Amino acid sequence: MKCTLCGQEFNETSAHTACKGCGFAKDCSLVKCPNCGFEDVPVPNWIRNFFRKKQHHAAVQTCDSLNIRLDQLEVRRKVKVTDVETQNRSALQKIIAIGALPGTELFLIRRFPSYVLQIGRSQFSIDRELASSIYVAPCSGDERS
Amino acid sequence: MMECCESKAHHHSPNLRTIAIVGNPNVGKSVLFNNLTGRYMTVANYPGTTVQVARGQARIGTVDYEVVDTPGMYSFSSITEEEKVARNILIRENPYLVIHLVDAKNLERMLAFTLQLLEAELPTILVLNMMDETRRAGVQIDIPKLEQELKIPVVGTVSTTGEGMKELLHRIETYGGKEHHYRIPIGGPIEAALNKSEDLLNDSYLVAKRLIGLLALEEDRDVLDLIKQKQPEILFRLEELRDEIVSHAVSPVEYEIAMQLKKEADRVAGQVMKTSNGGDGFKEKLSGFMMNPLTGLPILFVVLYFGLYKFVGEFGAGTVVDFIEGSVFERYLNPWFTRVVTSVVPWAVLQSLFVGEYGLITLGVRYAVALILPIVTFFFIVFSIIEDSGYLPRLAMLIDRVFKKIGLSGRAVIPMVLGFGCDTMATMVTRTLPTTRERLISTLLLALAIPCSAQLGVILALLHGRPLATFIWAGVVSMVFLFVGYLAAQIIPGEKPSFYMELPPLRWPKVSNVLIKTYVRVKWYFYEVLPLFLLASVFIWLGQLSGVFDLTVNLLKRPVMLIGMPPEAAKVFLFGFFRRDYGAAGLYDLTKAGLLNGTQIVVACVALTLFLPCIAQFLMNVKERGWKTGVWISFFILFFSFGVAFVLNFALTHLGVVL
Repeated sequence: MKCTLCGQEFNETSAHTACKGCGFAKDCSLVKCPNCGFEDVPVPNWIRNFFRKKQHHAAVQTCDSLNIRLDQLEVRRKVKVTDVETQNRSALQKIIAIGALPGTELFLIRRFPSYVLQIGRSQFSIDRELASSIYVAPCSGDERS
Repeated sequence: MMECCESKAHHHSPNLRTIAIVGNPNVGKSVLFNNLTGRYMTVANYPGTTVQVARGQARIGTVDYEVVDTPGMYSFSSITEEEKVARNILIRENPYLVIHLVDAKNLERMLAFTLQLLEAELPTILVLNMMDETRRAGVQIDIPKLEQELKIPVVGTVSTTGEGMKELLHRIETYGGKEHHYRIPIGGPIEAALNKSEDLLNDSYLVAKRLIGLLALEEDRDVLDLIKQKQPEILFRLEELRDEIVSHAVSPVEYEIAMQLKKEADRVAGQVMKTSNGGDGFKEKLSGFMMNPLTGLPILFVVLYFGLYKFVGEFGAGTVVDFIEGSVFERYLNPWFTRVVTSVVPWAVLQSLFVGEYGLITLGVRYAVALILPIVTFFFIVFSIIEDSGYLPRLAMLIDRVFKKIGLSGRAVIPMVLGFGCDTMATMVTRTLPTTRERLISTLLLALAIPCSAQLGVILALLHGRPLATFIWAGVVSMVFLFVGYLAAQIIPGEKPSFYMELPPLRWPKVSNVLIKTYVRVKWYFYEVLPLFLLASVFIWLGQLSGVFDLTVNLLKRPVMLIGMPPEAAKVFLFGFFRRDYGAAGLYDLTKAGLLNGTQIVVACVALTLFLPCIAQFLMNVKERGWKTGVWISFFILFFSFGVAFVLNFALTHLGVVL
């Protein structure tokens, strides 16, 4: 985080070094800037997520063997499944059920609020967990007309 | 969900040839089943499960067959209880014929399962359904060539219009039960292990040993049990084979198999399918709007407003109920029955059983016929239209993220929406959810925070013309829904839900389909409900006679006054237990008598929405979730609903809100 007083960038988790010698350090939710010693209140994650802009993932340039996870793919791209990786057997069975197996072409229609894929002439909706275990490689001429 | 036309619960008839209809969900199995069987059918739980399986008889040519409509399945590796049932029917009941019904435009994806059926040496006819949609999508399928490739009969149909049915019947009639040997080698250590397991399995199994061996290697519980019955001595050898595969560190068996099946399916599909571009631009666009939260939420709002509020709430629960209750019952039927009963039955006590304030006819039948029946009918019309159009899966997709926070997946949206029709029926439908945890959470939320259509109708009528009150009621109930769901998700252990769902293309609902579905559901509901209403009337009559009723009402007066209600409302809450909607209707009477002010109406509506499930739902909770959980849920709800009502009343009166 950034100290609101002196502007120093520091890591919240390592900030406790500045708290050495303070009797209240235990159970204290304040964060002390290691540079100037200013005690700041960390912003809770949910507030930060609320204001954070949606991250735009870098566009994929080539059609070659570059593999990306489906949950990080941009929408409206035609890709080929290259791999399925999950430790969760029931998740694997679900992926088999929708047929997102290596070699299958799929087209990502939506990312939010859930992932929507076109496989063949069927559309499926899956959640982020399932999407993140499917690896895909973008194909050339991927923008569908 | 369906009614039994023949009450005796018969299972597999040994002397008839069985035809099993199998296939993915949403390919039209039930329509085909109805086309084949006509009137006679039974719906019974598959032994040892809660999954309902429909069986019927069909005469084709000169032979009678038993036709089984199996639950949807994607492959022999099963995930849900339904899929297990479908699989068990195939491997245990020795069907004479299996009809694999597929969505023709997705042939390449569904062909994998056909291949699995062939490998299992099951006698199969492949039926390519939805040929009309397929043609419209610009897909051409060379059926004779497909027959050549697979060496089994293939028929193209449109089950909703009956196209191709004649040919299918002809093919069934002339089916020779041909032998087919289709084998898809997997290769590597799995193939080796499979061959060894086939050698081990030397008892007689009803399907190919290759399939049994394969499922055993997938650690499928049911198949291992089957082997345990026949050859317990080989179980440990199979386990060794399994360990061997794991030690070779290849992917799980079902994955490797799916890969090989896909390769073969792609090859076959490549030979027989030709695609030119087609498609419906408008439907695609609309589908996109439904799935985009920015446009999807307004669409949801419009559906709820016009479907539920205007059509069910105002027209069904307002206009129609007023007519049936006000004119038909109060003006004609009730006085007539009262006259007849008082002249025939001499004792006043017995008279009150039939036509008293809480009489069987004047209260039980009146509520069931005049109030509940029209509301529920209108709700099921709306629900059937929504269901047929393909909107529900899109709603599930839209809402999945929110539902994940309360420990459910988007799939749970179907029982939840159905709950707005009848919570009892919806609780039954929670079976379709994949994990026990999801079933438990949705049962709790249905019982607590989802008002059924009968309640909703009366509550919306009560709140009519009070927009702020409606807003507060809806806000409090939604907050409770999310809050309790969130807590439940934190407390209840178990696997986190994951969500996948097929989004069928949007379709114009067919009037005949909607009417049939509505009819079947209303009939089911009415048969369930009428006896309970009558029973409730008898209970109240008995309770009044014996004084238990007055005692309980007196007991309830304290808590009822605590939440700011007049003591008369205690009766309403007691009714509420017999049926929630019954209670809501009682509230309606109180308001008509001018006993409640705005604040009290809101508090009462909240309390009654949250209050104990009706007796039917209580019994359903116990049936589906077991005694302990069923009672526990009711106990929690009893205290929680009064708690929320108390806090709400306290807040509203102390903040000086005038409604």
